[in-house]
Amino acid sequence: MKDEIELAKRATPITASAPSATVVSRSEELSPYSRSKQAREAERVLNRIIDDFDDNPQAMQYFYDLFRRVHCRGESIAAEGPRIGTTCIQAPEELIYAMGATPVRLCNGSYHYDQIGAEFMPAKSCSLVKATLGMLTSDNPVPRVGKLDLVVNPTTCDQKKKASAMIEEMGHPVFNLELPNVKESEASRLYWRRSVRQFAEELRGVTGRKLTRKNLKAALARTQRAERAFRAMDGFRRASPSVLLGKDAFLVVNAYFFDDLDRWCEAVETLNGELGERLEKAVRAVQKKAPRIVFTGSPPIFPNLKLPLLIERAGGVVVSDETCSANRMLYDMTAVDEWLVNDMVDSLADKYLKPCTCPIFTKNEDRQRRLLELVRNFSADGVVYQAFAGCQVYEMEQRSVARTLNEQGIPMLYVETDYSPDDEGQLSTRVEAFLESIKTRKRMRT
Amino acid sequence: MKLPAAMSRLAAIMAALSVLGAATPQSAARPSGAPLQQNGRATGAAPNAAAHAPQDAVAAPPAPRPVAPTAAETGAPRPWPEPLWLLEAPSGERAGAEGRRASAQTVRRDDGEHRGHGATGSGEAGPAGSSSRPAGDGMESMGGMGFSRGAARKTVELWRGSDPLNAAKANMDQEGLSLQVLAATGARFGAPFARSENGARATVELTDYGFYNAAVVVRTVQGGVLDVQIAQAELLKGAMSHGGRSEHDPALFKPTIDDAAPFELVREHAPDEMLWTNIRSGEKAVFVVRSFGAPVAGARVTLATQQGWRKTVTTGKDGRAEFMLIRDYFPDWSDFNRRQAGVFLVWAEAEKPQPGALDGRRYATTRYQASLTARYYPAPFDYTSYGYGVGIVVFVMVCGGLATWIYRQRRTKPYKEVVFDEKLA
Amino acid sequence: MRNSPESPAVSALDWRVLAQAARDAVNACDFNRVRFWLQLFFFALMVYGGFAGIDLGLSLPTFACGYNQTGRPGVCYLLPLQHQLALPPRVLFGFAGIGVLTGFVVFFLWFIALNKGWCGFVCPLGAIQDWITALRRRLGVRFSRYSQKSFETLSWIKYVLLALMIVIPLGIGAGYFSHDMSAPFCMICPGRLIIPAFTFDFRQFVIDFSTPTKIVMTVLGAMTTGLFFVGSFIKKRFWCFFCPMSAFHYLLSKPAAFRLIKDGDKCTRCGDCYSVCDLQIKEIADDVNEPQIMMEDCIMCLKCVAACPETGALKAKFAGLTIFESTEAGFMKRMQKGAAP
Repeated sequence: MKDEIELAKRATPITASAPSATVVSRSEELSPYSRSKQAREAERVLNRIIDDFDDNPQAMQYFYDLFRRVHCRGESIAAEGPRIGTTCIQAPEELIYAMGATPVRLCNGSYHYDQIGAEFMPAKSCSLVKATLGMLTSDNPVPRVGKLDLVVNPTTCDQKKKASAMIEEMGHPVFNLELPNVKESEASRLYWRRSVRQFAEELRGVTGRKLTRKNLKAALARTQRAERAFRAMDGFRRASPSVLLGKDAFLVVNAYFFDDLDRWCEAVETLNGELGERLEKAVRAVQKKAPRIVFTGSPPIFPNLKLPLLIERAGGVVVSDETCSANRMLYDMTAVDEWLVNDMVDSLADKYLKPCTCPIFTKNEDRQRRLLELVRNFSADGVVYQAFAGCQVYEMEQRSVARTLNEQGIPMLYVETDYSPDDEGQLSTRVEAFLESIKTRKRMRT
Repeated sequence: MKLPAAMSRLAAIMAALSVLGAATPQSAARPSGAPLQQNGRATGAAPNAAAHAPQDAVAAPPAPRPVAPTAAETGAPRPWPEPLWLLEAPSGERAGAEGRRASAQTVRRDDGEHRGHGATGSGEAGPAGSSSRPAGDGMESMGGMGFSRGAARKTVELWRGSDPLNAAKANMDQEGLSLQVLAATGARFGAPFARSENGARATVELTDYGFYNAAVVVRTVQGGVLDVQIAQAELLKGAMSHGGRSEHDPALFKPTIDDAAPFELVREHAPDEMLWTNIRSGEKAVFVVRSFGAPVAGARVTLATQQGWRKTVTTGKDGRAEFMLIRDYFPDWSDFNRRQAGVFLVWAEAEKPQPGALDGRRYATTRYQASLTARYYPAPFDYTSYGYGVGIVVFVMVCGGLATWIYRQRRTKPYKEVVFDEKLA
Repeated sequence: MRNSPESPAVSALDWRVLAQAARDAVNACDFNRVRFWLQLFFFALMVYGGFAGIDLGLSLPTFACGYNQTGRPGVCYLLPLQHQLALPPRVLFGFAGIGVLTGFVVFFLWFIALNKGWCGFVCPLGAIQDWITALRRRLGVRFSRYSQKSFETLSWIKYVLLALMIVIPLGIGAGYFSHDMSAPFCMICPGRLIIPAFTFDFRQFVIDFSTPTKIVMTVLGAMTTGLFFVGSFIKKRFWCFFCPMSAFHYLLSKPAAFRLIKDGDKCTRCGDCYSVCDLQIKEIADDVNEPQIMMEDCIMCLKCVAACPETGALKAKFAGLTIFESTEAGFMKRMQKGAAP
């Protein structure tokens, strides 16, 4: 507990006022977008996030407002330099920042775009890919990513890989970042390092700037600040009962996709400060008996926070996650031995490859160990495993993960779903049953 | 790799090496020493007949060598007698067959027999030393701890003659000759001379580290002149520079001076000399003539190497006599032995008009003659080269650096490795 | 300032709190600086200690080079070992045997205190290599890595050198080899030339032409010294990879007191430890099953512990007591560079 406070203290700047965001009335907005189906979908989810729970931390207001502006009203976020779209967390964003560009995560969670993408994608495709492609196909998509000077597509799962050609057809310049599918071998490490270096060369062409010691160090420092802020925030969820709800945590990290980095860091640091206070004053987000859940699998991306919201509305709390839209994006930190460019880039490359628990790799032992460690560290009672229908890799990994968790006596709920809101009723039943069984187990144990 | 794997790897390599070693013929050991008569001192080079010569008789030298003119030739009643001197036999603590070798000179099994030879009295010879040590000799015979802990046994033989190469062992014609030893601590003890083949030898055991001043005195009166012949030896129980603190005590590095001796010759040590001595050609050998501890001016000091070179100097007020040891070892290069020891003999003569009587015989004047021997080695700069050494280091650095640089450059050219420019700040 | 919820109730003199605070301070230290000063101190001790009269004996498990006659505080064990092994067999296995065994036992006792930490912190040759590396960094030259294949092939060399170091002196004692080959490893060790140079003793830089064997040995010594400089410039801790002392250490390291322990469960396999490892040891990052994670090349410099962001994943323990541990807070503090607020 002391650690979290200490971390929070360190992470919080003294100028703690949240960046300006006034509370905006939620109803009418004048722009045509805000009346669109997509905007309403986003608004509905956002309202549920805010209203269905009481006593949200004050500092979360910044994020609520941010999402309202970006997703509900369709505002764009200013970004410096060229915009580089990324479709995966493996694209090293430090390089992008170092060259004075801004990374924009393109992965999309909107059902609206999912339906658009379904028009030209096979029926049994992953919702996330469909949504992303749907968004890229649109003329002026929301979130307003603006004109993309480059789309970086790491060669990860099949569908993203094949999407590469489609994105190119849509008129966006695409760079295929070659990610190996085996991460244990030395060859793959070298291959990945070379890929990252080629990527840096590509960026040089796009941005016109070279990678220097100074700008790379500064970029590393900026992302390290984000990582530290994230870890501090995560630490508060270790408390039992947790000080922060999963829906807020997901929102915060989802904001990282498109928000300005430094402003985001400041907002999180403010949040951490407030969470620290709450911890001291023993203000908790949930009741003591709430089942603590680790969420894993296909990434929940706003507005598709369907499953986490269900869990928390049913009385559970998502204390941690192993998804690439949250924990995996910001958890790992880069260690550098020599602050020379060649060494920094190699260290960076290793950070993106070696600890990655994405199921696209051949073996998933690291993912299993990570899940066990998360359950241990966060004193979790169960794991909810979400797989998007059509996501072959997550679906196939379910067996081994289930077996591992089973051996350790950790209950797991496997949910196959997609972006459509139609199965909410059925899911909520299953989730409630799962949480109930956990509560029963806990009662029986004590 | 894991520990058992590492162990088995090592065992495999050692097995392979042993098989290899056993299979190859023995490495070329150097041919046994003493290749040249002049450079080596074969046993009993002088005819054995000389061994039975009467006490004062000069050993019959086959080849006439110039003898330094003594005061005697200018009109004194008698010529100075041939110097009597002690030579330390090369028997170390590791006594055994090697120790019993009668040769006063070093005889080697191969070029590196590093036990029991060398100018140092220590059983572990040729150790780390002062500036005069041959470079690269390193810790040649750091045989290990424990061996120098016991007493060092030193044996000296009595010789007579002014030419080391052609001298003969002196008879023990006087009964009761005893070797008097003065330790650095001031302790005195003695050892009797015993007859040995053709000569006389005495053996002492040295317990503490340091230089011991040993001397045997022979007095004869003839023709009204008392001849006091003092054959001295500087015995060393030495050690390598590692080990106990006792070996680092600077007080032990100085020569031991006998303040009670009426006349003595002391070798002056080099300032960086420690508990081992290695005198080299090309260095200065400095001696101080003392009487009751005080320096003697006007004494005649002669140094004779076994090659026959000799030089006489007269001491000044400070009693010092300096000699530059000339280079005198010129074998064929393939026979060169860097540990080839030569012997040089140095003796000091001075006369004192001091009447007295000895055993009822009166004398009007006293002539003192003190002698000292030591072994010397070829100069290191004769066989070592700094130029080549540093040259090779630099050459490898440059070549290695160049090769690495070329390799790294080439990797960027055809393959197009991406290397970032560190020069940009 | 906020107070911790515990402090009002707990007295500041509670030793547990103090102990934890001390532990946290150690774990979050500026590791590189601490290591730099420790290495400097030990370098001064190992190269100049003799001037202060320090005498630690003949069995030191590090390169306190015996050829540095004036400054050494004791002698690197390999030198007496080679001389002892070169004794004739009947002496070596006879009355000298006790002395030899004693020397070895003393060496072993010295060694197991610090394990390979002797290499990482005390060895003067190691310090020199680290300083050359620092020079390279100043000059902005990037370092080189071995490919995996080269790594595996080259790692045999230290065992070969160790074997030769034992076999050749035995051969000398038995009469097969000439005494000019005595102390064969010392002859090729770059320490012999370099360490005495720090006391302005350059005698070891000569080539000894007196016998062919001597020529070969001294030339080899000069060559390895040249290679040492080039290699250390390009590769971190270049010599340590080939050092027979390192191999010797590893073979004896099982009962050591100072250990590197890894908790595989906490490891995310992020590879940070491997990135900073001077010796390119893969197992530190990849192996999550073995807790005793010190490998044969490891010099226990503890850079991996300092570079690990997962609390408790890597620990340096002395006799079971954790001395230095990887912590998230420590990692963040150390990896902060550039304009972080």
